[in-house]
Amino acid sequence: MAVAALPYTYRYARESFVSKTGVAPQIEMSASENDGSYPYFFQGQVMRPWVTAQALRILSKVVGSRFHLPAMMLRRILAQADPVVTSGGGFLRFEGFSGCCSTYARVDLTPDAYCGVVTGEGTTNVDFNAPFRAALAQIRDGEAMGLAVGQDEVALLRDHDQFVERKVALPFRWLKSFCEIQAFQSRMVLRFDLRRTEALAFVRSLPASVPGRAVFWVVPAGRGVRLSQREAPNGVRISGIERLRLLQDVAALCDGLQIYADPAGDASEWIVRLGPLRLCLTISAEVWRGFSGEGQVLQGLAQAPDEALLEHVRGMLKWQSDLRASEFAANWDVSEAEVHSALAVLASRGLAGFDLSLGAHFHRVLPFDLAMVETMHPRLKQARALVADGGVKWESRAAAEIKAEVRGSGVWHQVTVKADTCHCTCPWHAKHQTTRGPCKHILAAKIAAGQSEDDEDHTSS
Amino acid sequence: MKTTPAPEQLTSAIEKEDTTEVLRILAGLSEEERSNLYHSAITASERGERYNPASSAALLGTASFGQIKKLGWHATPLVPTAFAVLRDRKPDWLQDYAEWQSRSWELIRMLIRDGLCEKPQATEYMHGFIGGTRFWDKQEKTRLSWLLADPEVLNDEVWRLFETEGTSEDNLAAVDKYSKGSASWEQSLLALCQQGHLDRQRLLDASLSALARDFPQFRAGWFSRFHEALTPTVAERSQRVDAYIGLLGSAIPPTAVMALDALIIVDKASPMPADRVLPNIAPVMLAKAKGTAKKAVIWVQTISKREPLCASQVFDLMLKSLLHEATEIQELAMRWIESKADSLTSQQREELEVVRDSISKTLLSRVNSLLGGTHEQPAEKIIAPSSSPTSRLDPSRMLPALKNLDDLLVTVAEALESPLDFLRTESVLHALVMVPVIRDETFIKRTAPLGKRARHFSKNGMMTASLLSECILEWIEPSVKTPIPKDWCQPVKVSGNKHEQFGMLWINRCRMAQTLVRQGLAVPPLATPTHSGGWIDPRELVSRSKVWQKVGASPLLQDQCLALLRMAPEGRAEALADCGDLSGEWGESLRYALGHAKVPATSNPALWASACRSREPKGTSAELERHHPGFGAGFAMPGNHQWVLTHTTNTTVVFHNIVISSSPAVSPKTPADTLAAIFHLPEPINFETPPISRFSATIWPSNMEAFFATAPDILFTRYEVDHDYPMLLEPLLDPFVQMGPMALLTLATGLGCLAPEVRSLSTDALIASIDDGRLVPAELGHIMNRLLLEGSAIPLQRWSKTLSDAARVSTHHAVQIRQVLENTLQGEASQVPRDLVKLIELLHELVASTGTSLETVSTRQFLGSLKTSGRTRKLVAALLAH
Repeated sequence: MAVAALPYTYRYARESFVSKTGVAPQIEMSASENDGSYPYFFQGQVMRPWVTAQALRILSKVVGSRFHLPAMMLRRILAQADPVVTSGGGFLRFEGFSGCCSTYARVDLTPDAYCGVVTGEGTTNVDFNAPFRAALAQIRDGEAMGLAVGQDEVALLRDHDQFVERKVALPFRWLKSFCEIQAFQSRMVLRFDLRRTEALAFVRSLPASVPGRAVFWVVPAGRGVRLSQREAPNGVRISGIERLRLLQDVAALCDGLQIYADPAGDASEWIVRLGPLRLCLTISAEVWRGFSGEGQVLQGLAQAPDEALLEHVRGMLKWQSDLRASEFAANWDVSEAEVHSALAVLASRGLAGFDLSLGAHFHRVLPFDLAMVETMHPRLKQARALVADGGVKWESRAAAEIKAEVRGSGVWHQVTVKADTCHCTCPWHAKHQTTRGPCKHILAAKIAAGQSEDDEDHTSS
Repeated sequence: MKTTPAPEQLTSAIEKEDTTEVLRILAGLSEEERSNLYHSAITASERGERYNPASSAALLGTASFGQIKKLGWHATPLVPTAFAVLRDRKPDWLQDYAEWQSRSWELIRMLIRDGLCEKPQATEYMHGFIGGTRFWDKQEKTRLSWLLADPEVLNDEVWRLFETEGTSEDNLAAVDKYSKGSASWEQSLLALCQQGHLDRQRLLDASLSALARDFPQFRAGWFSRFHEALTPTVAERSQRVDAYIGLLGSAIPPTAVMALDALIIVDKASPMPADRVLPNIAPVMLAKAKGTAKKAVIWVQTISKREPLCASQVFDLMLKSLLHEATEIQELAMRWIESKADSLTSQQREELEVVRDSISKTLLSRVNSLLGGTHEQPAEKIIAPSSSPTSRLDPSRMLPALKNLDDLLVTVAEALESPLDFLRTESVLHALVMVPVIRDETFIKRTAPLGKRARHFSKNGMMTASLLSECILEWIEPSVKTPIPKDWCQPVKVSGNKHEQFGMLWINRCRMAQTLVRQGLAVPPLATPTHSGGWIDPRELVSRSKVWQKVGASPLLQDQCLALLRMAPEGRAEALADCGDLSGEWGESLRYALGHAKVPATSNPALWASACRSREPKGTSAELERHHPGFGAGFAMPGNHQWVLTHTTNTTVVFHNIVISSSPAVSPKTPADTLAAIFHLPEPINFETPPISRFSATIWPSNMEAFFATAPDILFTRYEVDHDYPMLLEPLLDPFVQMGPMALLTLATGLGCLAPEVRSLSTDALIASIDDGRLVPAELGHIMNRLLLEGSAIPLQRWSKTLSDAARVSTHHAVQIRQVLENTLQGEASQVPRDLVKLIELLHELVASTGTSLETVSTRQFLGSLKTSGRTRKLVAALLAH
């Protein structure tokens, strides 16, 4: 079966590299052309070169890995995805997914992590070629280290004969994952905040070889944490533990490790504090469950949002690194919840990410055409088709509870939607309940309910 | 001039498998003529049923490039034939073909040598060079002779080897793993170097450059081994100090170690300045491997002696080493810091203060004396244990009762998707029998999706899902009458394979529920558990029995026996008081099980045996034994388990096994359905088929020793990671499961098992048993002591790690683990394994952290009698000094 993919071209003025010719070594990161021009985001020095280089290497490892492995696809997929960089609000954020979309990594350079000039804001791809990754491995602290993200016009002119162009087919699920992940992150809660020693002890205790299906819980042990096979009330569930071993390279350099977990699911985020840098590693419930298929944004995409409010909020997005719904709401005649909800919808369309350390969204515009991505949610497509074909029949409709029959394959499923729960009689719901988003029948019932509300509003007005 | 051959000629040659004739026919033809012959070639080749070299040659010689790509191996003849075809054909797409087939290195190389194409750009060309030549040695030519025969590759391809990561199969390390001597890449390149065909200095540089390329560890390993195989001289190493320093930060531990060793060699010959070494050495000092970190720390200390002015930098590095997980490294760093105690600045003291809580407790007093003053340990985080239930029948342990259709529909659908939760599945079966339904239109509509799914599973599901599905279909549409085998109620025999017998019991339970649904009697299966662990509230059992009596029906004997075995000890007095009006043998046996003193009747021995095992799981009924003598364990008397460690040797390997036996032996004449006796059969449960194994853990909850008796040998000797072995240990987490000898042996072997998830679960069980006071440390220690002294070959690193994890939970846990260790380290010291130091190290740490000294005299004697040296001797001395 062909993988749904978006044809995409990376255009770099040259390859990224580590220059050792000047007074101080310099990380020269090449940014992909965006809207006809080559972005130039930053020029300056990083305060913790070793740590910065190690964090970027881990990001590159994540993007170059596939933890769940249909072998034939591996090489092609790994060759396709370059990390995404966002410059905004003084932050430089580098992010990307593993090939299987089960692991997300982001390196945040806060304003304290560098001294230099942020010359531009925006989002684009950055080139992480193999020699560049190898050069990052040799960077140490104790020497001044320059960093450039993108190139100025002089450099572009100088390097005009080195242009690099790679045409790739980015799998839709890789793109969808960017939209899904923030839905998990925005509801995660802090479970453990470990000091360096405990973090190091834990990361080093991770077993070297574990079957992919094995499920562990991270539970408290003394002042630190340990792996357990026993579910604990405040434990953090993890599967595919080899993904956490990526942290081993930076554990010895960290100031601490924060572990966040999603109370409504089994995803978790591991934030390694590296002085003024943060390395965030977000892992899905299972290695074979990429974030793309988790259906967390279906609800938002299915809802008919208040377009006026959405446009209003969208208009206020100016590459902020810390989007506060309360500040937006204070200036307008809308509630904080409404702005928050609008932000969540925009984020589900790829216009914002979520920073757990700040507890806020940040603005970024993914450098891909995401219009097609929304149509590629199979469940959403099927749900809309059900509604369009008259596949939803109401049994009862009240404010607190709606009951509907929704057409399945040869049977009609009973769907019940309450304020905080929903249920369907289909096998998918029996297996997953709502941990992987609503099934298509629940989604159809909700879409139909929303449409008829709109119709009623329209009639009454 | 050659005339255009007729298609029949080509067809005939293909059918005769005459490759030479095919080549002759195609020789010198134009592309158009070849194209005209393609149809004949493909038609003839499709007629053949096996590989036909003449057909492949014909296809390669007539098809277009696009067709060749589609044909794949059908158009890929052997190399000499392919070369002959292409050399003759010289198509204008030959360069594209070379790129496409670039992994076929031998063919492409022949084309290049003949000037027919350029070297392909595709990376597969180098992969073909590395791996495609894997079988050269099998063709009676070594890799070395091939390389010498094609000297052009020595100028280009050989050097590109050092820039190529390769694939999982085609990489230098993988190829050399199975190639020895002159067949290996390493030996071939070394020989070429010695013979002067390859430049030695360039090879040294190229191998170091390859190591800087961030290849995966296995592949990088080849380059570090090759570099060392070149045996660089000190002078050569000195010229490459910058490269070695760069590699100190390699993410590949063996690469970093190689670089460290090289630098130490250079330093010994000609001391390196501190400012070259110190800013770059931190990565190896933080290395996980103790040996690497130790080497780095010692080297840094040597440099500090040479250049005292760099003490401040060295202090920073020693501070980092104090955070190393190995106490030995911390001790080394501590010793250096102590040697500089007089010159420590206030800032350095503050920095030391910051790490004080993180270092080994065995060093704490030394840090304290260095920093002066008293130090208060940060308060231990108290982890509130989840409120432990006080009774097996605690409401928190009650299984959810399914009393209405809504609950039932949700739970049935979930159970169908994961039927291996046996307690839930039994509750569902129970509810299908008991929940009253009116099969009207609404019911039909609501159950239609479930019915569809059940029909699917009844045809395609595993046994458990299929049986449940048939019961569901019976419940949804009784009129359809899903077929039930006439002889479905087979007795469960007390012989043969335990696994099969327990499987039969499960099948019968499902069929029984299906039959009851069909009869529409609404009489409850007696043995459905009411509480987790598989327990039944005795009062509920009495209540169920009364329903049967009222209806005038009689429960199945297997159901009765199972119900008795599952009956909880709590609530028996009330149940006994309430069951006076139960008549018949079932009533009598139930009353006997509940504690009534009446001498058991003897008409149904299996029933009375179950009543006896329920009443006194570990006692003997003299009356029952008198009436039915000689049936052995699990009948009138309990079984006792013994274990021995056996060692068998073939020529190279020693196999260790734990052999568990039960006495008295089970008689082959033991009546069928005596469920408790099945556990004592000699053949082990087949735990590789987890469903029934999970069910077997719920059959006799009052005597889990019988269940555990099968586990240790499996955990000890088998470790296939795809099996559900953690299931063997899950019952140990239950606070009402006694830690008898078999449970403890299971725990001890689990703590040392190869599979990390089993070790993790064993640690959980150990912590849980300490939490709820079930663990007697001395008893676990004695079992571990036997395993240790009798040569179990469990790597003690594993025990050390799991015990240390458990000890970290709280001081109380640390004390208990220390006692376990003290009881482990006893006996004849002459037979101890070489890695005993791991346990001694942990004991030393625990003695220090709990602020106590060794309590057991025999442990002191054991440690005192050890013949030790080095670090072990120091640790023993420190322990005995306490």
